[in-house]
Amino acid sequence: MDVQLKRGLLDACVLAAIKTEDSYGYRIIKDIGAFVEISESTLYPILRRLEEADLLSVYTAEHNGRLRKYYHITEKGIARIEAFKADWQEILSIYRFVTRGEDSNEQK
Amino acid sequence: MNKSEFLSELSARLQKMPQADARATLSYYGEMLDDRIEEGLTEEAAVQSVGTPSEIAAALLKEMPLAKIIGEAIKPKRRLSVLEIILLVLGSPIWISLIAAAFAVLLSLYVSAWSVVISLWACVASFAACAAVGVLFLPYYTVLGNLGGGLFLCGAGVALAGLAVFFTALCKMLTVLMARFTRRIPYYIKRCFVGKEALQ
Repeated sequence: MDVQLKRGLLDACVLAAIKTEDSYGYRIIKDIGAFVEISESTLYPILRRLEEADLLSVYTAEHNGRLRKYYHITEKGIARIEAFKADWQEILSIYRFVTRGEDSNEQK
Repeated sequence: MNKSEFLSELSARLQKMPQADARATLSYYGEMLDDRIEEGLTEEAAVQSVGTPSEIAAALLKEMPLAKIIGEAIKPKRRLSVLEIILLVLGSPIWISLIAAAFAVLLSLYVSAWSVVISLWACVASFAACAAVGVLFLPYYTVLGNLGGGLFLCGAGVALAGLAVFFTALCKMLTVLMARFTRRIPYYIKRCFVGKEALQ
């Protein structure tokens, strides 16, 4: 997939992964990994960028005797997901228009 | 490689980064390794799955803004003694002007390279203009009865047109090279501070 396109998509993916409940790095990778290829090294700059843009917040909590960083989505993060969905509605309708002609041609 | 070896090698490779960023990176990867180990992987397998320290460090350094790297490079690593501070201040006319001079030299080299390219483009323009004049003035000279002169000028014009075409190709190539070089300048500067292997 185009690299720049993937970057924007991964941002939305990460935000969606923490939308319903707070999550931590490794679990985010597992959740997203089912749909798109992502590694620790890819995720790390994304998390940093999202935190700097105030789309998520970070806190530390104890787990099994060690400290773990948890990520929590902010209001701005939720708004970003909605913007992403709106963008893609537009892309979808353009896609349907582009492929509509092909379908009817094939039927002939 | 086990977890502590991985973390110490990663830490060594992150030296050129500001301390806060290096620490955040180390805790992130330490946590990743712990999570994988908790899932059942051995230390070796967890380290394997996370990538090599050199790749991780290179990717981070490449992304890091140049200003951060320079800031970290020129920060003194230990407290300066009073004598050192006095010498730095007293010597500032010297080292400040040396740095400014070095920067000026590099800048003028860069501008000279561009002026060569621009002059070549000017040659192309003048060749094309002369070519046009030489060809267009043939009928004028013929009418005046100076066919020989007119033909000579026309021939010269055609020759210059050929030169213009050749030089255009050359100028285009040089312009592309200069543009590519300019885009890579931040990378070259980073390499001076961080070392070539660190960015591979």
